[in-house]
Amino acid sequence: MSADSILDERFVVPDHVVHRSFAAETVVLNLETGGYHGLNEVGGFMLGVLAATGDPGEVVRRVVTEYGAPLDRARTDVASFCTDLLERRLIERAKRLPGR
Amino acid sequence: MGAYSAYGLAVDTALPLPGDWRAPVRGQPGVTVEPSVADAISDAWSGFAEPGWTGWTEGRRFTVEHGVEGDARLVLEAIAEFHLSASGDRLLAAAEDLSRADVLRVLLDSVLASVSLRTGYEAMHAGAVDTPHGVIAVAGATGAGKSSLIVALLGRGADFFSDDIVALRRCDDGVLALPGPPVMTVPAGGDVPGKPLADLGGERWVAVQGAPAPRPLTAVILLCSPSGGEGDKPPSMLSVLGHLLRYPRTAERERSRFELASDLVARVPIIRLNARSGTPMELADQALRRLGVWRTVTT
Repeated sequence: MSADSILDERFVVPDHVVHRSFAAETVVLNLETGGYHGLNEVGGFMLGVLAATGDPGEVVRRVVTEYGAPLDRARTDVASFCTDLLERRLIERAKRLPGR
Repeated sequence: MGAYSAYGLAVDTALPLPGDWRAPVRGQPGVTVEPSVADAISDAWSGFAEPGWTGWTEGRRFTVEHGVEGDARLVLEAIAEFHLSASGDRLLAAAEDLSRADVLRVLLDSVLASVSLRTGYEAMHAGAVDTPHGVIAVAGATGAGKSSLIVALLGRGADFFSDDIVALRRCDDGVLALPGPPVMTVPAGGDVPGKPLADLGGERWVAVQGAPAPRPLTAVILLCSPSGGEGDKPPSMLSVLGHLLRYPRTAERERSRFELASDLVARVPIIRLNARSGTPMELADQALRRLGVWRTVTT
């Protein structure tokens, strides 16, 4: 899957995933597997935006704005981040409504 | 029948339990511990459904199994067997000699703590002392020196609260700690608090005065080895989660544990201490100063 294709998708954080952010870390729990995952500050920021908007493109824009990252680097990092979360079942592809 | 409080449970039993117990706390869920025999436990057991948890204690395998009807069987290999009813209020205990120190210790530690966890409390693998500010828990890997630090904190004027396992529950103001049984396992030799009960596996089991009531958890000390890889990083929620007992492992309880750990990290000071950076008394002094409770505890 290319970076471009995953950035065009929409995602949700499923009910079996809970997360909590602190100053320096975000901790994510997958209730289905019992696995804990730790994210650093930037990872926690990206997950927060993704959970709120479902839109990786918006995550890219916010990372560029908040952290001053170059656009290409931000696109690569966010695509890699989303792929990793998908593989760990911490996010799911959003169901598209009929006719859309 | 004697009435006791341990890990948030009101315990009724005809078994004489060691330690200087305080009056049981009102309103706690109750469990009756009944001396029994292996055949009665076999009759009560509904049959294996799934494993609960397995560990090592008293130099033997300790196993918790869940039955098909919601009951549980708890076995200290070749020594003792327990059966907890599905309702969680009746615990049968069978052993060749129920008054043996190793049997009583496993009852007061792994068995009652498991009952408490099944009742709905969470727990941290930690010892704890009480201070005028609240309870300080000391967590760390086995052999890190938790017991020695607890003994040192007692020497500095803190009161005993729990040994090895601290039962916890969330409350409006944070996290509440529930007293453990009034017994401690301490390194053999040297000055030990309380009244010696037995020497078990190179350690000394002693009776101490129990804590009277649940108290707010106000600090956690993470005792670390210098090679533990944590360095000078501030304690994280993951490091706290690593010390919570993950039983039962249902999604609902995993969520409850996660929420408790979140509250704990957000509201309770957590400090990391290098276990090799001083004697137990020096570590105790260092911890009390860093937590800002030095004067209250030592004067």
